[in-house]
Amino acid sequence: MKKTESVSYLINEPHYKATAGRPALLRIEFAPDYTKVDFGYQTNDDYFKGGWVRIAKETFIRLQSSQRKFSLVRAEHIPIAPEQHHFSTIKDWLYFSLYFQPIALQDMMIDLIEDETDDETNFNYYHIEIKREHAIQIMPYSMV
Amino acid sequence: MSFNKEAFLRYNIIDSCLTNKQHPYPSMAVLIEKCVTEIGKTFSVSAIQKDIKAMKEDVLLNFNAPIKFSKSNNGYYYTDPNYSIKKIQLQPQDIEALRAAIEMLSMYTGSRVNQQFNVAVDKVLAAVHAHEEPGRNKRKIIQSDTSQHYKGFEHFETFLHAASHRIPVCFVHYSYTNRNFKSVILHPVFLKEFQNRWYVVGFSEKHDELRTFGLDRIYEPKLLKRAYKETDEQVTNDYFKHIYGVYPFRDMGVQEIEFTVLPMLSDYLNAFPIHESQERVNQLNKGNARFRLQLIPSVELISLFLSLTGQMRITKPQWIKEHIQETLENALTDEKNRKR
Repeated sequence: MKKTESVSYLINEPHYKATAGRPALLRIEFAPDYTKVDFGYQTNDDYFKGGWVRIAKETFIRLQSSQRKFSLVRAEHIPIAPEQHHFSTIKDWLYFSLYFQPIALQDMMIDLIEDETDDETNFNYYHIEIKREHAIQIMPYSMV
Repeated sequence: MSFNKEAFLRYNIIDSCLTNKQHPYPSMAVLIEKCVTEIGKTFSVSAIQKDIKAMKEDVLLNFNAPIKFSKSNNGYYYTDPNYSIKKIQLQPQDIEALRAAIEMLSMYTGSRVNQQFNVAVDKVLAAVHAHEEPGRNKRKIIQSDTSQHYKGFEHFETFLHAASHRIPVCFVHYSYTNRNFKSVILHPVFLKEFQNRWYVVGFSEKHDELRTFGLDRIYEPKLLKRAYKETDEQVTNDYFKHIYGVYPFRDMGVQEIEFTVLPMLSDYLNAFPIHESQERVNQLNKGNARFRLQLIPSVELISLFLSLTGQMRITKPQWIKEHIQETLENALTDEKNRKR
């Protein structure tokens, strides 16, 4: 029997829409077991000492075509609410990742939603453009 | 001693027994006794049998030792009488050179080396140990400030592998200057060390040119399965040719930079030139000297000048004079009154 290869793909810096000041959505990894979204956040003078960040456990990814939702399963370098990561200055920065249920890579538009009741403070990203032709295969570590 | 190094020592001992013309066909008991005597601990029959099997068959070791057991002589032997795992005969001066090289290499790479490299180093170390006189002083004889414990050094091996195997890498980069994050796809060409910091240099798809990235600002490099963009060797060679440091000022070409220095700094600069373009223009009776550099100004060059202001004076170009003057004034000025 032919062994199934577990291939992961990367979408680098996809186009999306979000309120100004949100963390930059940097790249998305489509793996057989998860979907990983990497973010970079630079604090600013909107908040005293840079304020704080956290992510709601209800955060999800939504396929625009079918409205199907994919839940958040893990967060890396950012706490799940109600825990908070407090910054010390308006020059701090944070790299963090969110893991969601696996999504099959295809041409699609997706939204990443923390809470749609408030776009001003929540991490909501709309119209994230995924194009299969832009996907790059990630080399498995076993090949390194 | 690590398991690997000890195993290599045993291989050497077994090899010595098998190549000993005075006492051919060493038995298992003899091999164990030799290992016990030289290493100072007991070994089982199965341990030595495993060693022999590894010397014969282990792909990673690649000894392919032609070891056979002679029933008539009740001992082991090489079917090729000229065979030895010590294929390279090390002279004392070679051993000294290797010892220094290994020590320096381990300072730079620390534990961030792959298994194959570890095996290679252990082979050499075993050979060196085999030639070592008993009681030799094993104190550390080379010391540097090189640290493997700073942020980002864990990516060293990934980029080394990517550069040597021509594999593009995607990583997230945080710019200390622009204070923002970008996801970069780089076709790494080489790793560069400057003042105890490591950088990866390669063709950046985002910037469409050769760029340098500090490992300390890199997050989660991922090797990509896509075509590698080759960088012309001449471009690579020229990239750092006219630069002191790693970050040249953008849009600046090679400039003529002149400065005068006090005698002590003059001596240092004669011994340790800042750049290969450095030349001493003249030297005054009191020992003061004027030097000239031909290079692209860089962040690191300005930092160097600032660290030497007590002993030097920039004479050319005017903008570097003004830049240094302003920086020094700012250093003594409250933040709100600073010029930049």
